[in-house]
Amino acid sequence: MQLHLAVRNRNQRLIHMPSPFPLQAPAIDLSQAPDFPEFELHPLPTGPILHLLARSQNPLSKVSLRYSLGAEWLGRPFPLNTLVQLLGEGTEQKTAVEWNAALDRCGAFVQKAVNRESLVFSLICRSQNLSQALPLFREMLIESSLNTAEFAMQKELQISDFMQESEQVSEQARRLSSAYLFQGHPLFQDERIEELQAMDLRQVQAAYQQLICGQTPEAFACGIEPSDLDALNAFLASLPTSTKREPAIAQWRIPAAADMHFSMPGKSQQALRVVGPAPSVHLQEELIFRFMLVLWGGYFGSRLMKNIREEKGYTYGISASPMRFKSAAYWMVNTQINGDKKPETLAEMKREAERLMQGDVGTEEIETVRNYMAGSLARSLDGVLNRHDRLMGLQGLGYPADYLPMHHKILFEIGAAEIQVAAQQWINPEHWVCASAG
Amino acid sequence: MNIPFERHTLSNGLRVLLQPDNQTPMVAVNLLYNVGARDEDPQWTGLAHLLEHLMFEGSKHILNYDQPLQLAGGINNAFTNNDMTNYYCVLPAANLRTALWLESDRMCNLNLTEEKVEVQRKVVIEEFRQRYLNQPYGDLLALSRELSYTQHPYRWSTIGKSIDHIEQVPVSVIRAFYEQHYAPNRCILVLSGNLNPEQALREVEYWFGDLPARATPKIPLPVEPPQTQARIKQVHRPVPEAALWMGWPMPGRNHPDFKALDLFSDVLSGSAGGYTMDELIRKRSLLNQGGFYVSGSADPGQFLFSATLREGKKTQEVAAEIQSFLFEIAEQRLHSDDLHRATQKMATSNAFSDANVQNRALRLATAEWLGGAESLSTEWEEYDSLTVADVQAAVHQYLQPECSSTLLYETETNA
Repeated sequence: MQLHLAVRNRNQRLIHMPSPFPLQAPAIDLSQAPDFPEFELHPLPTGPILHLLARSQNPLSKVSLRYSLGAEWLGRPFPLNTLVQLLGEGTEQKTAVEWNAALDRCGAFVQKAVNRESLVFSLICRSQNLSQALPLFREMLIESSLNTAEFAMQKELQISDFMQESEQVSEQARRLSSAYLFQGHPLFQDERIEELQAMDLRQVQAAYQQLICGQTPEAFACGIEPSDLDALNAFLASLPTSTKREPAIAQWRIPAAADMHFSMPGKSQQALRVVGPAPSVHLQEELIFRFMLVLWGGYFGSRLMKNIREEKGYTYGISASPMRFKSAAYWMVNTQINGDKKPETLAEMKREAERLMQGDVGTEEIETVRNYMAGSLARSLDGVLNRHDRLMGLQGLGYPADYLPMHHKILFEIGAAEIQVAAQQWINPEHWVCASAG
Repeated sequence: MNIPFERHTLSNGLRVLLQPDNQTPMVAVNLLYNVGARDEDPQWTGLAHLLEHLMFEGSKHILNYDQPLQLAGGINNAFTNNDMTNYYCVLPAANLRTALWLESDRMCNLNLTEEKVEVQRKVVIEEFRQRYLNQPYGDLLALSRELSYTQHPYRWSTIGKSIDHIEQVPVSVIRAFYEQHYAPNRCILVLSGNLNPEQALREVEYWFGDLPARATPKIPLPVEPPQTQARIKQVHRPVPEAALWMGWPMPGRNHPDFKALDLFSDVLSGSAGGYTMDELIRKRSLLNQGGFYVSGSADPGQFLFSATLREGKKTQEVAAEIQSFLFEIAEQRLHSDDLHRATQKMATSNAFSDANVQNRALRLATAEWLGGAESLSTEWEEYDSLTVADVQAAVHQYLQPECSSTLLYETETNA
């Protein structure tokens, strides 16, 4: 390969072609709306409703089951975490090694998640192996052995995880914030080590019987070949059915503003978590709120990132994100900052919030956020697996079927006045709950 | 496993891989620069990573890198490791030109100023604190590298040896490093997604074709001498549980023995049904969490073990057990079914990764950098053809106790 030496001018700067280099960015085109996906609904005679992602042939298949926690199991993370770990640690027919080996031979993975309001289990494998993997998935779900030895080991591992997490400033700020925010509400989680140490196998077995063996899950699937539909139907038909309806849970309301600190001597940084109220699901208002939140702190070009990271250098990162559950909605800002910069960081956050409340936002900034969010929406729908996850998330929170197209449409209608109103309503510093640790 | 692509090399040495996929509305633009922490002066470690931050601070003709990309509906990010620095954007395919415009200007015309450097020093120092200094076990990586390498620059981490290096490195040194390592002939550009290869190549030619190559040769790196004696180091830290780290020198990614050891680490720790979970966690109750893995570096790397220990277990005794465990598994228990299971999971992982344009572009760029992206279409078959005897031979050759390095990471209560 022949190399060409760089040509330099008097300032030793490289001369760049094409010349002159265009200072204006190339024209952009965001006219094409994403291809919004749809689930086909298949009510099965045996009970479960299958949400099958339409037109989703893919080398991979994904089958997800979501189990609602119901009022009784909300706020009880320790037995639920242990239960989820124990599923796959041996069944009535196989030891843990045997079951996992069989799953490995199918090249399959099971993802498990304990969410605030649900448990979600997903089977992922190459489509050609789905019919072999589904019976193993079923075995894990409804034939788990949950014996004493497995429980003792998982409890010990959980205590270990808890102790390690307790050394992290971000985790302590999260626990402090969560305890204050949800006190007196079913979403409150008792996260004391004593609670974990006192946990016994009966609690885990009760959760298993009620949540997994005694409940019909919601089912979602993508990448299903026509030849695998029978296997999928047989799998779903083999799951327990129940017609029990859970009572509604009271809506959570954010408590009074507060500023709390958890002292951790010797740490060189503080974790800071700031929480404020958010609208519950109401399409237009919620989308404007999200837009305002992204502009304030939700992407790399946001006010908070520019000010607190890129201008002041107080932090490696700061982000604002909406949190949404069936019974609660709020926003939070998370960051880790140089040990003595909490007052300055909070002051800058407030300053940026107040600017938005006063309507200090320009057309170019709005256009940037709009386009960024339009691109994010398109990316979140790119590929069968992303579509599956996105639709499952929206369906679980009760969003209407036309949410995604509506989201795209509203993005292009939001202006400075709407942002100002949303900022005044939702990020007024008078209502912030601040928790720090470090 | 096959990812069809086209390869072109511009006259300035820029290698371009085009991977069309009309199933997606997006395009990923990935630029892999052949520079990492291993190319740093020991006096100024952390420089490659600091420079990665500065690459987002604007170039000669474009003052703000991020905003035009966000306006075009895109996202971007980057990472630095010991071998490479990798930048990527993902954006609607119709706006590909915006990404090429931005990337071409910062490839040769970065605008480094004292002010920008001062802010990014602070940001990187906060990253240093957040990820390493303010975390339990946060110094384990740095300590393990110092123990494993005596000559090769893998002996320091990407973040750098010390905050002092980041605080004090002169702007002139940063600028010289940039001019030495950033050039079209030091880069692999991959476009993956909804593109027409012919049009895309024309765009690449337009934006990058006239950028000058830089002739400065890469300085040969010091070669790590063979390790002939076991090394051991003990530290005490304020952590809730003792930890154990062990490493054995092994070949780099392109060596024929790499795959056998990589597969062995998958067999040991790649599944909840693997030997680590079953023996070391369930049956022997030695570990809370941890396992075996490979560093996967281009130059000779390490076969690694890292774990936190169950309460009451002695680090030195567990270390001895881990060493014998490796040979027990390889010699007495390893079965062809173990290898089959590991390769089946690998096939699914690869398919999962390739479902995303960004991951696919990175996998192509990395494979090209290692010697040729065609290897992606044969890689899995090579793993799948490995036999128990192949793995046993590699274990015997590379994982002997006299080659090991061991870090005993004790709690302060054991001091």
